[in-house]
Amino acid sequence: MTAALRAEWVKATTLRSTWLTLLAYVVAVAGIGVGVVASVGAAEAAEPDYDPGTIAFYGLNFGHVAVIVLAVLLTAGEYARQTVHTSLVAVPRRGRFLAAKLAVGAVLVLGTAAVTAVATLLLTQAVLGAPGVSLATPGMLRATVAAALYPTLLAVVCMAVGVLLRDQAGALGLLVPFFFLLSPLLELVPGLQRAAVFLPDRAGAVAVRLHSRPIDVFGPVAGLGILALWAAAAVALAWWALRRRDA
Amino acid sequence: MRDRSAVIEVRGLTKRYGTVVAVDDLTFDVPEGTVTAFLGRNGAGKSTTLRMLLGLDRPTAGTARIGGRAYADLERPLRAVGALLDSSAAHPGRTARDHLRWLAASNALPAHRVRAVLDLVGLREAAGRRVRGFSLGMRQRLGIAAALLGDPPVLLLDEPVNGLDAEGIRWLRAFLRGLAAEGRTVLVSSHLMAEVARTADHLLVVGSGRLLADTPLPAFLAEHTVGRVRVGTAQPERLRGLLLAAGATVTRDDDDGALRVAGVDAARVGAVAARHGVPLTELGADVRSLEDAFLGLTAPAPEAAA
Repeated sequence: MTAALRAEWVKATTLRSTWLTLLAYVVAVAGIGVGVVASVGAAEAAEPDYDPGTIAFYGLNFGHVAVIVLAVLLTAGEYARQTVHTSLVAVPRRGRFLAAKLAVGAVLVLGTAAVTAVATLLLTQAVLGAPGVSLATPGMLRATVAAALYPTLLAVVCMAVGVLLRDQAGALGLLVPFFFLLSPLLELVPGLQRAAVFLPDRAGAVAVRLHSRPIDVFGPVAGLGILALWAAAAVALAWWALRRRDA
Repeated sequence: MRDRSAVIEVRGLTKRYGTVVAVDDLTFDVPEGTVTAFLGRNGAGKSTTLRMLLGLDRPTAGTARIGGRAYADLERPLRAVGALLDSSAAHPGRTARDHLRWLAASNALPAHRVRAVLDLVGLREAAGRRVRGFSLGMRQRLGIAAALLGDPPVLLLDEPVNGLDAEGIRWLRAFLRGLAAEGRTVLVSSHLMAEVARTADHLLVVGSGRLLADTPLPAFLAEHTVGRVRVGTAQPERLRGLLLAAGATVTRDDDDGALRVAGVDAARVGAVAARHGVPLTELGADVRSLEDAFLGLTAPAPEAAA
């Protein structure tokens, strides 16, 4: 297993696309967070339903596009270039191959997202000035941890989908519109709100909030739990498919 | 002192895709320390067989074992088996060295093997370049380097001749012979049958997924090229007359004017030419007749009534 992990690490880190997507994530999350706070932060802070977590981490939704692209390149990308044959000849145990690939992808996203979350919080609150919060503010540490875990678990979901679909364009065409547009919009449809919050990214977004909204039928920790369940289900499906399919 | 026990054992191997039978009840052994050519036209089932040997495709029926075990049960497979699948199996965005580095890491192989195999296939200078800019021949060499990374006793090479120029093919031939001389077992597939057959000790010929021949090369040559000789000379008409008088059948090769002789062997042709003072520029087994023999052997069977 160590050897398989090392192999996946070398594979992921020797591709320029890995670093470019991770850089895009940092720029999107921190940049958009600072931009939003700088432009509407003060006004928002005066609103009664102001949620410092949601505003500071407003860029997460955009960062997720980078996470999706990275996850799909690491998984379906192997099928696009048939390197998956080489990979499975080197590591013929499919469960081991999948576990190593998911672990390396998750670690890369977790490391990047954790640093980005802390940096984004510090930058946005510095820009916000007086109404700003800090990690000492009740709930803010939890929201910041969630801002690292949420993209990581979403990456696991997307990597599993990449393995399932074995097609880069198909996986991107499904995941980007779904998580970037459809899912956030569903949350705005009155009749569907309470169901939509159970979608992977919406459940994760709940964990980044400091205050629950009326439609949130579960708390922040449960939100991460629901996202983790999605990830577990997607991984189980990917594992099942990978084991029974011809490579 | 080697015992020629079977390293690769294929038993009743079958692969069906819906109603299409890609591999049909294939049974053969590949003995240790030999180069075995696995020949057949495109689509004959060669690649599918190799993919099942490597655990990539699941057989519909039968077994394929290497060293008595299924490939997926090998703990460090690259140390046991080296495989060349197709030249595109390296990521274009990665350098040749990084491609070999991750492969080495996957089987806990020492880093110095990466340099060793790059030198071996002549890619030392190109090691730091991205595979995207490689020619087909360079990709083939990189694939062969990857196959040799674990210094494996068994090699499975799928169409290694593809994309190689004449010089590359000659290099590969010598290389395969060298591998066998080191006691390695090599199974090499190709649709360029005559091209690869001459490198091999043993031939396996498949057509429509079925085994058509399983013979040592000398026996195959004896059966299909005896008395079929190719002669080059500056006096073709004169030699033709002499050979006809000696009882041979003679035709002219349309491409280069060489004579293709049947009915007498090369020694007899040489003797006739020498006796009459006809200088020869070429004398040898008619390889094209070998190609003809393969094409005849693997001719698509008439479609069974659906």
